[in-house]
Amino acid sequence: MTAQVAELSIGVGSDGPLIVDGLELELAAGEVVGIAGETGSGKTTLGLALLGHLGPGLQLRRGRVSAAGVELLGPAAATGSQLRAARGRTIAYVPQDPAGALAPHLRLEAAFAELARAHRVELSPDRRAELLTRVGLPGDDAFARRYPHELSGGQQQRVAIALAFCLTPSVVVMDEPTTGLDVTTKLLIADLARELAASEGASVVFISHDLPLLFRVAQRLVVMHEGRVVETGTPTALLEHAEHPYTQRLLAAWRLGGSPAPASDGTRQVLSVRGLSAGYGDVQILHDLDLSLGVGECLAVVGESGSGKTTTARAISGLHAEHSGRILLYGEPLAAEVAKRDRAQRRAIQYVFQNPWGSLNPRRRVGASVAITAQYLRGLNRSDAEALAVQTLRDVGLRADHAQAMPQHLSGGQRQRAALARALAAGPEVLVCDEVTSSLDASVQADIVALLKQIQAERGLSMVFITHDLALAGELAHRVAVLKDGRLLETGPTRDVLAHPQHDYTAELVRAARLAG
Amino acid sequence: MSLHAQHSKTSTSVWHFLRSDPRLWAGAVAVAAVVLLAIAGPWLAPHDPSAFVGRLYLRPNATSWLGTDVLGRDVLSRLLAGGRLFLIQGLAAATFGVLAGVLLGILLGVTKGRTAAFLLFCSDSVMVIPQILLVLLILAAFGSAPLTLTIAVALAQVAYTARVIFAATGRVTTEDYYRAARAVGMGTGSLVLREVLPNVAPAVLVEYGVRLSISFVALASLSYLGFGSGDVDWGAMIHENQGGIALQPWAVVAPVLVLAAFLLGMNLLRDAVARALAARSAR
Repeated sequence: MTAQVAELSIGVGSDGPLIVDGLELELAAGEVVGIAGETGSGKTTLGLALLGHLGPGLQLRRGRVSAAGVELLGPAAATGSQLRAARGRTIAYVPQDPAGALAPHLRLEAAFAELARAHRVELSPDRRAELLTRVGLPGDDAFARRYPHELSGGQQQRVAIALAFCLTPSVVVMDEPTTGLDVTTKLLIADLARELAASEGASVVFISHDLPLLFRVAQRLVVMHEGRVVETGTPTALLEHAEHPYTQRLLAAWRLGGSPAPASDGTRQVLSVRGLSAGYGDVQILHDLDLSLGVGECLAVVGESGSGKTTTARAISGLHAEHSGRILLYGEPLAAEVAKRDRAQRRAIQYVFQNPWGSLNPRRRVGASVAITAQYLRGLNRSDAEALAVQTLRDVGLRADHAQAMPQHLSGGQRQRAALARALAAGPEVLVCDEVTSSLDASVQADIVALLKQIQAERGLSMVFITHDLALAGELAHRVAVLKDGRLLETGPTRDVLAHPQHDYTAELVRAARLAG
Repeated sequence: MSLHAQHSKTSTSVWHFLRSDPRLWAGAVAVAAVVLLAIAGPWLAPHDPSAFVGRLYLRPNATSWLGTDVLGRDVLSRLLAGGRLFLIQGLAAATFGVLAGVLLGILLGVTKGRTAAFLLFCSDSVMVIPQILLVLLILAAFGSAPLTLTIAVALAQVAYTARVIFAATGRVTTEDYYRAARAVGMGTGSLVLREVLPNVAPAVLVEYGVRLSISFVALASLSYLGFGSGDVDWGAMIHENQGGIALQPWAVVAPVLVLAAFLLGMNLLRDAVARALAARSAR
């Protein structure tokens, strides 16, 4: 056993709500323990408590945390220099944002040297080279002389991991280390965590809201909900019989559902994109892209960040005029700029944005934001538009009184529903959904996907569903188009693409998506 | 109706942060005192501010509570009479300067394109000239009547405000809600009034506070340099009486104290409002 958490309770102040409630955890050497849970479940507070740190305003109510014989939190906790000596040496931390973890003015070699100096140990260049090689980076001196900004996000995270393992700690806490990384890079980081735990004999605590990833990386899973451990077990055991309803919901959110069968015979096209090329200034993002969307069909456009998905969605919606090629709505060419399209055309194509935090005007009530679409695009007067807004908010699972709320008073999921209502209030024929679930928690994602499915079926909508997540595409889409570097790699019915990917790249995405299964 | 409700809601939450800020109260007391002094002063003055009441540079005494100035006029009466025009000019200059700057900044921010870039470049170029120098150039060309002086100070503020509001507008136009509004086919006018203006309002408010302080400082400095437009004026009082500061310090100290209290109060108020707005948006 490398570390122990006993009866740990942490709350806000001395009488505020509990963030972590009576938590028990033991870590064994060489083991990767996955901590799963959503925003607010207390994962990060637990991660920091393992380092003997309490967030601002938080107080230890009960219990203790100890690692390798040092008490980090509790009645006899180490303080001052003892605690500092333990951090980094006995217990190390890999934060969520690698760019913030590496001091921008230090070359990589200096970052290693600084860590060694702080703990008064000798660190030979050979050890540094060995560590960098182990995390899949070049071990040569030229690489060690680079600055953090000269690395990609994935490389920065690997350096952060190498630094964490540098002084052979007993415990390494990784707090959402893959957020913001590409699917393929995520997998590399997860495999790395597992390998290093085994070879260095450290316990790795891998905190994430990404369940499929945890299934891949962890030997043991701890599911947290509202500060408590609701379930614990090996990934296989959890998959077979999760007992707690929260775990079941979390799992249901991520299981690959059966992909919908093709919706239309493909004879009637509502939207087609012909030879679309687009860019920003001198940078070309899209190269000669062809897409088509049948009536009542859902087309998933899948690719990593930078593959041109959002640019495609914006060009279709007339929000990225800097493009060539043709976009046809029922065979009629559309103007590049939305202002030059007529009202019927603007009404027919509605865009739902990725980030629900920025897509609603923060100074306007939610109901008014929804009503504006109906006013502008359906020519309704104000009171009719407001009535329709309330009705539409209900349709997407919000209450009538949410119409009077300001966006900042809604949760992310509620905002995304409101943004969806705004699009639906126009009475669209094509819904363009740009990564609409990517900034939401797992179980909220599942709710939104279920809602989209239901609305699409009820209203007979055609949908362009932009996502980086093939699993999600499999859930919703009749057909998939895979984008890489702004080019269409392959397209076909979802079932076929998932079962028999034609490209290595697609196969990789499928593998990433299949992690849960 | 809903618009009204929205305004009262936001102002309560800003007020919530403001209420407990000592800067607000200290600033409000200082500014209110000076404003009252300036408004009521001319009626309270014991003497005609331009009448000779005794020998020059008399120390404070029973007839002249703050003594007399370089020409033997009553310092207290001149102090009480010297604020009205100054305050009106500063308020007017800042208000018109900010209005013009906001209009320019938003229009440039929304239209973008080559013309906008060129106009912004021109506006930026004006900022290269020190403000006082710019005002002095205008005064040299058009004389220093009170209205000319006010306009000159107002013009000197436009480029700065335009730059700040241009940046704030740019933050709005890159947000998705702005794209969503474009996508429903809103015209430029509606985009400005319904999407941009409510979201740049906090920046405008803070900028207005900054421009008020700067306008007052500019006016006081110009008076001190001898370009003031009033017969009695705090800046001018400092200028006239600085030669006798060893004999009769009050003729200089009194207007300095009033000006300092006023400007400090203005800055405290603006700081409190800016902090409250930031605290609200951070939530």
